[in-house]
Amino acid sequence: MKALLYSDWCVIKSSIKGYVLPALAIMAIAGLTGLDAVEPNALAISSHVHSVAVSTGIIMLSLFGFFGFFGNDEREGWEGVRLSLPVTRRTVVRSRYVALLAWMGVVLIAVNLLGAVAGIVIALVRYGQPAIMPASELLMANGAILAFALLYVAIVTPVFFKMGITKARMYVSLPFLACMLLPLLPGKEAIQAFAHGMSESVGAMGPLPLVALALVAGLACYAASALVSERIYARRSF
Amino acid sequence: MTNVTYRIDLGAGTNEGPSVLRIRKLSKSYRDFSLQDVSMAVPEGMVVGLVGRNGAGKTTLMKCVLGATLPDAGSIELFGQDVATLSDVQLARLRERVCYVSATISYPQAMTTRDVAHLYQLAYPRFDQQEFERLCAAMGLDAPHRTVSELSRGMGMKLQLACALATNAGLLILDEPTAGLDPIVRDELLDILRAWMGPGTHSVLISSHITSDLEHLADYLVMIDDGQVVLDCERDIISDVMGVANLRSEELRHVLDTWPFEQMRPRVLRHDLSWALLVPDRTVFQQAYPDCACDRATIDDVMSFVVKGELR
Repeated sequence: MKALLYSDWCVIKSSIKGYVLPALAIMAIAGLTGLDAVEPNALAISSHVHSVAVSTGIIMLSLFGFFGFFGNDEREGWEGVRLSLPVTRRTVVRSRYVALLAWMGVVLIAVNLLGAVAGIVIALVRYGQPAIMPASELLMANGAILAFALLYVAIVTPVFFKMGITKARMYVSLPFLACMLLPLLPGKEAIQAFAHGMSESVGAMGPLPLVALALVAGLACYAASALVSERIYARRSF
Repeated sequence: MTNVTYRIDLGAGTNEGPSVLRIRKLSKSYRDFSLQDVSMAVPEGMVVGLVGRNGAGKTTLMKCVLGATLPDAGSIELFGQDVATLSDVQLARLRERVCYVSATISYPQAMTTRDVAHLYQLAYPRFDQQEFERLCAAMGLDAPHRTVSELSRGMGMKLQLACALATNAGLLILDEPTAGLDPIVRDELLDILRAWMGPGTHSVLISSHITSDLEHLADYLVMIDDGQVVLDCERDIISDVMGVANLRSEELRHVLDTWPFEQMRPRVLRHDLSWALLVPDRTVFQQAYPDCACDRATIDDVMSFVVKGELR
């Protein structure tokens, strides 16, 4: 597995510069767009900046990394040649899941540092006093976004292992479409009642258990997705 | 797809004696192509050249051996072990003794030469870093920080070969390693490969449609066409035993009427004013038809007969 993780590390290391600039640009646009709705105080603006950094940063950079890894697999036939190394197909799948998780972890730390520093500086410049997003809100934002990112990656990764990026990218938006179509399904009242009940019972837990639950659910989906990918990839021919 | 209805059987093929790789009745079907009942082997310490036109099935066969493509039927034995009976982990361990050189430079393009060597070091426990550096120096590959995307095709192939040889693999599988290279780089690569083969502990399966490479390197030749093995013999049999007779129409008719070789049906190629006939044994042919000229055959000749020739 070390060899495969190393090759993924080399890929991501060389691509970071290319990922950071567009991500920063989108973060800046998203941050400025919502600025008018923010209360005029140091804490609110710092929290706004930080939450924008976390939400856009984690989603965008995770997806950039995801496509970077799978895109590289298909370049020059690396995915076939990789299997000529003394590794099992299961190792190929597991190493990719480990690499993606590690990348999301790095992104999480980086965007939080960036968000905190940017929030403090902007609050200081605009209101003359430093401020940082409260820890509970920080955990909520990070947990929710990370759980969403994990869930999304868990859904699409088996498709990428099944058919490779060239064909699988057509299906990238399917999870979003499925969410949009959910209210149109017959029996939507039952789904809505279930969602409402869940949000009420979960909301009553308070932020920390909620974050923990979301992350555990995300990680469980991620692990299940790895098992599905292993089965799919075992039957794939190159 | 035409069906190759016969095989040139000259005896002394790769299937005799101990081997590091043995393939039996391997089949793999795609929508528009299939490998059919391919059987061949790589004898220990020998170089087996796999020849055939583009799309004949050489790469598919190699991918089956490497586990990248899953065969529909048949068996593959590596170092005496049937790979189908091994667990994934056992197979991965066995494959530490096999190394592959691809026709393209397939490493992640962002990796440097040094990164690629490190990747091999992590993947192959027997990878010899000093040997890798020695090979790089010998091949003039002296840019450890240059990325794969910056390497020329020749340099990329040298890098692949240096990595593969430094793994000290018992079986090296090379897919068109000299295609697209200038003659000087090609000779360099082949010289290094020959030097590596020296002690006789390594075996090589090499595919190529540059048949002159195989004439100097291969001990055995396996010719594949339309997914079937059509010839499997020692290389020397082609140049020392087989021949090509150039005949007029009436001579051809006479030879075909009295064809003395039971192991091979006659194959002919039509030229403007004459016919070329593939002869399995030049000496026997000349004794039987002393008035007909018969020259030594080359691998190219045999390929031409197999691909474009007409069975009589």
